[in-house]
Amino acid sequence: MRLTTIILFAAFMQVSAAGLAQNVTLSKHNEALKNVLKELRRQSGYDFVYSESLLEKAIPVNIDVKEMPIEDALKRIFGDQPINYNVQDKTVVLTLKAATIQIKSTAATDDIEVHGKVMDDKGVALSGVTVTVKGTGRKTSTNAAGEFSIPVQANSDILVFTHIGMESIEVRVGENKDLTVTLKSTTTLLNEVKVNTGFQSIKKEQMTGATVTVSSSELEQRYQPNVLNNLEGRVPGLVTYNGKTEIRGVSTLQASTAVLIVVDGLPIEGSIADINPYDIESVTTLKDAAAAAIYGARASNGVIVIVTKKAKEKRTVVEFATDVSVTAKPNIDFHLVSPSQQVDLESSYWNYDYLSGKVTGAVDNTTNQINLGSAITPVQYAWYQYAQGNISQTQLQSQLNAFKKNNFRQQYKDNAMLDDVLQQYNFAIRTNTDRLNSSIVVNYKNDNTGIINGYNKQLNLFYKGTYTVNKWLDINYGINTVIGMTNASNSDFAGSPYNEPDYQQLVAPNGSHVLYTTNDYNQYNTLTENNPNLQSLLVNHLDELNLDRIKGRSTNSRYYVNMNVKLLPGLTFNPYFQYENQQSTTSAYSEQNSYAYRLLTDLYSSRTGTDPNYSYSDLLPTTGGMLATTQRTGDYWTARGQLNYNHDFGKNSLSVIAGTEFRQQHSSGTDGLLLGYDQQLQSQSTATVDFNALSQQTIPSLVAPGYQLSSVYQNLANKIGVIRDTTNRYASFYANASNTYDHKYTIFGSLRKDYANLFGLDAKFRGRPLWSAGAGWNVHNEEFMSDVHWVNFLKLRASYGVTGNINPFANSYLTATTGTTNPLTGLPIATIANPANPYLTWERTATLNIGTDFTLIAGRLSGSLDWYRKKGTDLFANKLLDPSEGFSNYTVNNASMLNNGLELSLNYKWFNPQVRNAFGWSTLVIVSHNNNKITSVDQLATSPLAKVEGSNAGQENPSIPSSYTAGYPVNSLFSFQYKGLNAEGQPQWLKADGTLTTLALSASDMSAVAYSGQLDPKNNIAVTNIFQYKGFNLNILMVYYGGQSLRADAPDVYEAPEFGAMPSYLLNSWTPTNTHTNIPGYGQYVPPAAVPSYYLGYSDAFVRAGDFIKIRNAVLGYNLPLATARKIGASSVNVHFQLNNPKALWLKNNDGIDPETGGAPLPTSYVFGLSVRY
Amino acid sequence: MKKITYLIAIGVTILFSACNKFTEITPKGVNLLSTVDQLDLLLNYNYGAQTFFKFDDLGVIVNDHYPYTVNVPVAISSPTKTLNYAYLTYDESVDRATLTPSDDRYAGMYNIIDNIDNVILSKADAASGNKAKAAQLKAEAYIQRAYFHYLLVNIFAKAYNATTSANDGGIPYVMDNDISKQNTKVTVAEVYKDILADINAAFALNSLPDVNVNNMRVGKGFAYAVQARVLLSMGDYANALIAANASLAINSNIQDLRPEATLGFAGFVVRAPLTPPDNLFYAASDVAGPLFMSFTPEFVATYFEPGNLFNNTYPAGAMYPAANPLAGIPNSELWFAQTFSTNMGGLCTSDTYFAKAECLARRATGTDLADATAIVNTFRQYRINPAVYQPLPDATSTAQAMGYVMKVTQAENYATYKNFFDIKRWNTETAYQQTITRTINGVTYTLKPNSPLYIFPFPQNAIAYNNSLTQNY
Repeated sequence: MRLTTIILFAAFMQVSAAGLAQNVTLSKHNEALKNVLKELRRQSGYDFVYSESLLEKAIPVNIDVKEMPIEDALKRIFGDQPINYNVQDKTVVLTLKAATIQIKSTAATDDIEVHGKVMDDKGVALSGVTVTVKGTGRKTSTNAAGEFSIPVQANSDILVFTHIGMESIEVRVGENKDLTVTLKSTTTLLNEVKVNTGFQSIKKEQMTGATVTVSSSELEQRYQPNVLNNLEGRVPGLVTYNGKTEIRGVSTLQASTAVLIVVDGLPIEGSIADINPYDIESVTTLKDAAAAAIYGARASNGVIVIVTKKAKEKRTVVEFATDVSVTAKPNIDFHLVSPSQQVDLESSYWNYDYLSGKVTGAVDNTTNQINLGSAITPVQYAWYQYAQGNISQTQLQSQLNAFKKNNFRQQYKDNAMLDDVLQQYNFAIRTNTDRLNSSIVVNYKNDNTGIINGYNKQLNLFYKGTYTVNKWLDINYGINTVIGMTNASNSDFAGSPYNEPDYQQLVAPNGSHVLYTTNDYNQYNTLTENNPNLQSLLVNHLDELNLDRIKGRSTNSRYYVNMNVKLLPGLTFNPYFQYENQQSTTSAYSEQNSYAYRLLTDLYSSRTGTDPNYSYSDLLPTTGGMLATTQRTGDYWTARGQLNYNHDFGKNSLSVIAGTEFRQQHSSGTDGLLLGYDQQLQSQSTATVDFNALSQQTIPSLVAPGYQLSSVYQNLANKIGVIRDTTNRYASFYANASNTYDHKYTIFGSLRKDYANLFGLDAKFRGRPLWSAGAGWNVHNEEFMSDVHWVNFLKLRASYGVTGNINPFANSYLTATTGTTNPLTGLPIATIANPANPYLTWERTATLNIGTDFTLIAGRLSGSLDWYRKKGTDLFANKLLDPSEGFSNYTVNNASMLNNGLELSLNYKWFNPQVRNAFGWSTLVIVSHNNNKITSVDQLATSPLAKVEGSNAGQENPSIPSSYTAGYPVNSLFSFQYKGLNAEGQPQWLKADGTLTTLALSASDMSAVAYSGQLDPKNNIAVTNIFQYKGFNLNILMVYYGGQSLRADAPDVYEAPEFGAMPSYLLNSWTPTNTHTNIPGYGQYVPPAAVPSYYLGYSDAFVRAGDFIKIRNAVLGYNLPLATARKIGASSVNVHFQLNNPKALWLKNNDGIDPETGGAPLPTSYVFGLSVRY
Repeated sequence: MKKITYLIAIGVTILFSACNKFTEITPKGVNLLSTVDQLDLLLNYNYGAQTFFKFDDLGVIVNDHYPYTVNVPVAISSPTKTLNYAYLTYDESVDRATLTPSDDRYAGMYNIIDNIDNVILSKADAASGNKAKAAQLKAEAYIQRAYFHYLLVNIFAKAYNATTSANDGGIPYVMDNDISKQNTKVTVAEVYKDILADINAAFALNSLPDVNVNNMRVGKGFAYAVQARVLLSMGDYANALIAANASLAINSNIQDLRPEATLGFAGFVVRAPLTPPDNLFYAASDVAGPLFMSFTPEFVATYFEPGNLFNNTYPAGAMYPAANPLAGIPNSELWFAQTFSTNMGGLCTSDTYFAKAECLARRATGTDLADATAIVNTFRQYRINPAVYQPLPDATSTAQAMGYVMKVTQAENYATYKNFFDIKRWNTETAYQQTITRTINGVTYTLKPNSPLYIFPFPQNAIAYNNSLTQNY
């Protein structure tokens, strides 16, 4: 059966959200049913869905009622009709009534009575489902409770369940005479017939753009706190890799790369991570211009439209769900030497340093370093003692052996780190009455962040509703508040186990915390320990995790109201308003006894007089600690007014929208500092601090003279400040129109013009029109396809259009920066940092998309295929200038880029189970291929180092990557060509002339810099297999990412052991006997000449392939049988267990480097979940 | 239907203007350059720490000194022909344009012109605030713009020559800050015409203070000094003299080094960067200049008279007390006085005195020659150890007086652009042309008076984006 021939929408019945009238007044005599329905619709706003052939069977209607509730009127109208009706939401679906009388008359005496219940996949009872005994004319239909009973002749008989908008299924009777049958809505039918673009709902049939909609039932198959991660493997073209989400590749160099997030119709400023994952009805990804161009200047990076849930059934539904996810502690030993290896590595060096006789003055040097307060490792000190003859060789050995038994990282893992436990609870009450549809959703999340004393809590409250005022006015409103609270370590070092030698002890066997020093100081200098006027500089990581904390608190609130006003038949008006407020504060409290504050007071301590009659003075308070606070505020509002017009004439179905949107973003903030702060006493003594005196200090007079106090002071001073009060405004108007002829051919066009305060002194650049056009062809509706039964749905579509993007940092106004002072005159300076640039305009991204959507073989195979070409022009980039203009480069619309890609989505149902006990298996394959290339850009790198670093340190605008190169992807890696070590162990690189050099390359060697891959994956394949049997289901997502590269494990030159963890590649470093290695020598074998800085790190030899295959997650779920669920009063109960990120199945690199972390594998996590619905 | 169309048209028009109006907002936290006081801050620029106020290569060409911290024999013998090689050996065949990817001086001075002077000149009239102050800022900007163009044209183009300058390629004279408009190169004559116009425009505003706010701001003394130097370059000696006298009437201070000869002050000669009263406008690469400069033996022999206090080593003087470890030339001397801040890129009263002396020498009427000699002797007296100082007898001819002036000027102006400018200027006159020679390791290199080395190439990063920029040599 071809669906569209049975679903014909009445010409006037296209208003998306109909109003509701309680009562109707009708007076009709021998009127055609069709006309009665028309009148009903006019009065009530209800939509009716039926086939033309069905109405042919209708008998004329006689009715005379006044102010009768519509339910009663319907009962009366259909009482005599051979037609059943079923009210879903505001839509009335008509089906042919099964002639139960006929069944009875043909019933055989030896019949077996089969009864049961039919529900949809949400557990909602379905009435009016036609149940037919296959091969016989015997049929019935389900009652209002979804129940049926029908006689069959044998257990082998097959029952066929058909219902409009649902997939028909066949069930063999078998032994069980009490059947529970679940019908699934068909993807091309009622439920998902519409694509929500945020501006409007477009019928799939009329859609000409590339969109993918993921429904809640799919999302709920697995647990992900952030819905973006849940889209992995579901949306071809949407790739989230290493925390970066891209739709169809990168499309800008300097402007925003963020995907636009639209929630319930309007773009939001809040994070997608804050959206309650349990409260999402659908997520639609708009990929091409025809779908996204209506968002104009913000749509270049794609648009994700999220619709939150609302009540569907005419009753009160209570939902509860919880998921607890436990993530194992990460591998913190990855590619690092063990304690015993580290003792040996250090010993080999100190033995050489102190005892080989090749290093002069080593012992004196160390004595000096100890006095200066430089970092000294325990192994070094042992050798230093031995070299001075203070300890014997045996004593040295026993000390070293003792060190080897310690394991700092392991103790840290055991004592400081926790299995990361993330608990999330969701509770929702949804009610749907005639006039009011409302939901209250409470979500609570608690994450212990994997370390002691840490937490990240979030409470998400959402109240929303739709109130039907009268038949021409609906009001939607909502209040959503997300409160976040975090607590994390504020210490520079205590959060990491890598900054102490691994053979250091963290906790003594008796459980006490061992005290040691950081690399700021050494424990062998006893000045601070023996002097009551100074603070001790001994420290323990676990203590610091208590004493130095940063707490954060954020409140993000969103308020919205919008209306649906029916002005005339087919014409509606939608005003929208949304206000968002974001408040966040942090307070970092370093207590008086915290190491950070102890060090700070010591650095600013000085003494006068002579020994022993010193008198000490401190520039910082020594009672109380330090409290640094930040406060950020953001206010955002959006107002939109939109007119919708739908009209059907002849075989044409026309849909037009037009609207205008105004939007303001405002943000500001302050940073503050209290010194001598005591949380308990609530006292502080900041006013006593002489900041000018602090700023005059250059080096500490007592402790750690190596410290540069200018940077210490700068750190302190930076804690006080103003975050620039910034306001941005956008205005736009837009329109689109589509017309479908005969359900076969659709043409579509949209236009939008954006204005922003950011641009354009020149008015002609301020507003730029962005547009799109598309066409679609529903091939399956053609006459010549009527015999091609294996094609259920086949659509070809093509679109072309232009979207935009902006760079909020590019400014066309001539402004000067302030805040600096001329050191010679002491007068304030203003400097023009950017030229006046009145020609700035929007970036343009033109997308051509050709695609097809199909459903074949009775719905068994479905999918889509898209090809796109996305050409970005006028992209913001630096343009080079004759310096006589005052600048040698500036930011303007000066680059172009091309993204080509192919996207495939295929879903095949190997076994399509119709009843709970049957076996089901389906496979979803998603393929995304993207080829990204910059087609033109000014080459900014002036040296090989600038090119490989991708940074322009020292240039006018250091933040603009200088690695951008025409002909290569945006996120390219460029590298020096490393040619290993020469006979002396000196690293060497290829020069442009083909010779090798051990020195840094010069500007003339630019051509020796080689392209070594891109950071973004080119190919992404995701395969989801879903198995189900007897209420169990197993969902396995396997992913492949390929074509990307990363830099990892690049060696550093270790001239001497460092204070802290040491990398394991040192074990394979160059020595006169170990010459087959890429790793430069360590300690006594360091390369004879200085190795140019950053050259090893940016060498091609240390670029690794990033391709991998992983099982992302596997979910085993069980739905309790309905009968069991009923016992606890629930309509459905689901328990599930989920495994995330088990060991990778395949990595292309041979070093075990997980490309998603750049090092150790992503830790595996386990989720236990429960969801109950009442 | 027509009515509806009109209504829609009106509605859309209202919407257009509403969108425009809605998006007109003034950003906070930035200097919008809309008030006089905001514009004033632009002129507080630190001219005392800009690398482009270092004129090393100019001094190398006129053989004052060797390239900065470069081993000269190595630079000459190296297979790679660098710019230093070209300057040291006076090899005109070296492709200097290719070796000049960018030029700090070009970028830096035009940056001041565009982003300080032209911004003030374009915004001062509309700026709110004290109108008298606005006029003063404009006058300062005019003088600065004239001055920095004067420096640029003398570096990148031929010296002014009344007979040829209308055809000699000059530099762009930039009077706007519109980056989209190419700055077209004009002739030397046009550049000088624009310079004089700017100076006159400044005086016409009649708002410059006699004494500048500080020595990095423009006052009348500096304005007249600039006028004097520009007119001198154009050969208008009569008016140059008037301008020089006007400047000297405001500031006639000269730094006297003699106290340092006897006191042995901090071991080396001392001069503060900003505050010396003889500074008319201070601009330099850093306050410790010209530290580590290696004087050529030729310069020391020709220009530093016996007893010259700069030429002394510790405890009173400026030179490194041992053999020069940097240049690789055994008998060269190394400047080692970190305490002496040479005004490398600005003007001092010495520049007005020398302009006056030269004008007097050329006029040679009345007491002119004696007056010129007196100026020369004053400077010599202040620079030479009193124990050996002998005044020069009054000149009796223009040629003799010019000889005095040229020598004392050269001795005073090492480590600035001025010796290069003066020699280039004098080279336009047969009477005062110099052929410069230097001898290194027995080889003598010669710089002809009309050598293209006197004209610096426009940098590659300018030529590539400005098609009017053809090289001027």
